Amino acid sequence: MKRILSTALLLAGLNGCWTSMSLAQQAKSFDLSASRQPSNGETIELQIVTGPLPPGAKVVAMTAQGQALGAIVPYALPGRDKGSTVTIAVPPTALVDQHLHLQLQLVEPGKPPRAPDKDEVRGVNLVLSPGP
Amino acid sequence: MMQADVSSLTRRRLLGAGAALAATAMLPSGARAQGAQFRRWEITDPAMPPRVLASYKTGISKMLALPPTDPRNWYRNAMVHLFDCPHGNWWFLVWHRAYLGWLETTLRDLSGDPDFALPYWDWTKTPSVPQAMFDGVLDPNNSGFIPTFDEFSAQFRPVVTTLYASFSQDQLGVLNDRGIATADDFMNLLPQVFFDQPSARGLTATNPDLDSDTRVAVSLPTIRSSLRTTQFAGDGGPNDPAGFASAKAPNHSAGSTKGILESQPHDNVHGAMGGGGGAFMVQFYSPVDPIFFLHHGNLDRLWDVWTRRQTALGRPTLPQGPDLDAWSNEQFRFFSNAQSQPVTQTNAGSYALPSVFGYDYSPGSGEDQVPAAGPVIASNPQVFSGAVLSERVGSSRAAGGTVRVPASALQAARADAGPRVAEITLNLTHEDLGRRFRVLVSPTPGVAPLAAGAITIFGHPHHGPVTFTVPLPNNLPAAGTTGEVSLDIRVVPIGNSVRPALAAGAAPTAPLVSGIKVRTD
Repeated sequence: MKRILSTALLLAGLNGCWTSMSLAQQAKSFDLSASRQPSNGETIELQIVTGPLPPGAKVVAMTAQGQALGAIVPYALPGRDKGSTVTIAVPPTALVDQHLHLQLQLVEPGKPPRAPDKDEVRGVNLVLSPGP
Repeated sequence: MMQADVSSLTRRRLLGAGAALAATAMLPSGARAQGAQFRRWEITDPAMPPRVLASYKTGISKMLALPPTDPRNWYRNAMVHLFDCPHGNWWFLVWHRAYLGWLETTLRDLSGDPDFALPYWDWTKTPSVPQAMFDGVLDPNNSGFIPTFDEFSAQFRPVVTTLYASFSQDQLGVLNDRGIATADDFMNLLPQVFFDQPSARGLTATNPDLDSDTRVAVSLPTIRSSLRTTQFAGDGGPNDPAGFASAKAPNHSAGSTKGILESQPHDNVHGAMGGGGGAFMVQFYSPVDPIFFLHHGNLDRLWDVWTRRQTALGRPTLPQGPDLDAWSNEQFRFFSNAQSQPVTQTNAGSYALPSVFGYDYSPGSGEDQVPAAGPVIASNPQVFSGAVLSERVGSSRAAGGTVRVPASALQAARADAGPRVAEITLNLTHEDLGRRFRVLVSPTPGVAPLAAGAITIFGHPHHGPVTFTVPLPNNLPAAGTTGEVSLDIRVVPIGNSVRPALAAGAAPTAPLVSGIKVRTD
C-alpha cells in the first residue's frame, strides 16, 4: 500500500504558481501542506526533485523564518547528472498548522545567491514517512 | 591473516541474522559486538591505538607504489568506484560496505598489521576534517600521490585500455549503463574527476571546517531523523518516502529517491571537502582521498546503529519478501581481494551484516537512538497558529482568539509526554512593565473557560512583540473527543492592570495580542 498520503506538490515552475520573491530574487518560496495529520509515529519529509545544477552549485533549503533545513549537493558522474530526488528531514517545529513555508536558494561559487529556475528545481513535495 | 569468509551467506542466514542482532543490540558502549575480531575506531577517540593510523599510512604507501597493472594499486582501487558505485538507490550502503571491507583486507595484508581496521570520521562529533588526516599520505596533496592529470594519464591510459579489453560482458553491461562503455569514454571522463595538486583536497589543516550547510547536514537532529526512518527502502515512486538506505531501483546503476542519510550527510560532506573549489571528494573518483573511507565508515556505522535500533524495536532490518531476493541478488562484479583476485562473493546480500568482515565500531553519534527494551512511543511535536479575534486588552476586556487543534494532539499519549502549551505574543511598550494577565482556555467557544496560567510583565523594560508560554490545562479536551477542537484562548487583565494609554482613552498604537499558537509534543 502506498504510504504517502499527503502531498502539496508545488511544481511551481510547471503550474505557474511560483510565489513572488523578495530579496532581489534570491530565493524561491513555497507553501507546502500535508493533506492530513501525521499519526502513529509518522514523520514528514521534504522531497525535492532537481535537474542538473551548475558546476559547484548547491540548493539550500530553509524555512521562511530562516531555519536551515538542509542542502542539496549534486554527486554524480560528470556530464551524466540528470538530476536527482533527495530527501530532507523536516523538524516538526518547522511546520505551522501542518504547513511548511519553504525557501530554496541556489548558491554558486563566486556568484550571489539566487532563486533556482524551473529546470534546476523541478518539484517540491511533502511526504509522510511510515511510523513504527 | 584473517580472510573474511563471506561465501556461504544465504537468504536463510540473512533472515536468521536478526536473532544475533537482537543479542548484540544492547551491548555496553565499550563492549565489542559478538564475534567481532576487528574494531573500527573513531579517529579522534583517545582510546584509538596509534598503530591504526600508522598502519593505514603504511598500507596506502604500499598501494600507491604498486604498478598500475595491479588491482590493489591505490588509483586502480579508486577506479572501482567510478566503474560500479551505486548512488541514489537501495544498494548505496551495501555496495560501500563491501568496497570498504575488501580494501580493509588489502590494507591489513600490505601494512603487516594483522589487527588493522579502518578508522571512521564521526562528523557529527567533529564537523571539521580531523587534523590527523593532513599527515603524510592521509592527505592526497602529499607527494606520495600523482600530482597532475598529465602524469596520471601517462601511467594509466595503457592500463585502462587493457582493463576494458578484459572485462566480461556483464561488466561491460554495467559500464554501458553508466555511460562509460569504452576505454575512450572512461579516459574522457577522468579529466573531470581528477584534481591536480594542491587541489586534490580543498579543505586544509588551517581551514578544516565543514561549511554551515554541511554542519546542518551532519547535525545530531538530522542524524536522528535519518535513524528514525522505519523502512529499509521506499518503493521509489514520486510520492514515496525514500527509506533509510534510499529507495528501490531496477539496478544499482539506476537512480531513485535518496534518503536523508545519503542526501544530507553523505552528499554534503563530499561537496564540502572542496572548500568551495574542486577536490577528489566532490566527484566520483573520491576514493583517491583517504578520507573517503573514514566518511563512508561513519555511514556504514550509522547503518549498523539503525539495524540495531530496528532490531531492538522488533522491526525489519532488511527488505521484506520478494524485495529481499531482488536486493540480495544484485551483482557487484568489480571487487578484488587482497590477493588481487576477483572476489567470489558478488551478491549484494553477502554484505548485509558487518560481521561479514568481522568488524564492529567504537560508539559514536546516534548511538542514543538504539532504545532499551520495551515499547517506544514516538514524539510528534506540532505547532498550530490561531486567529486573533480581539486584539486589545481593556480594563475589563479580554483579548485573544481561537486555535483549531486536532483532539488527538491534545490528549496525553504517555506519562512522560512533553508539554502542550499556548504561545501568546504580546506587543508591549515600556509602560506595560508590572502588568499582569490571566490566560483562560475554553475547549469550545462559549464553554466555561479553564485557567491555564498567568503572565506578568517584569524584568528589563520591554518594547515590541514578546512571546509568553503558558501550559495548557491537562483536561483539554474531554476524554473521547475526536476531530478538531477549537480552543478559545483569552488574555484577561488581573487587578488594576490597565494599560495607561488605554485608560486615558487614547487609541493604542499597536495591538496588544498579536499572535496565538498552540504547540504540542
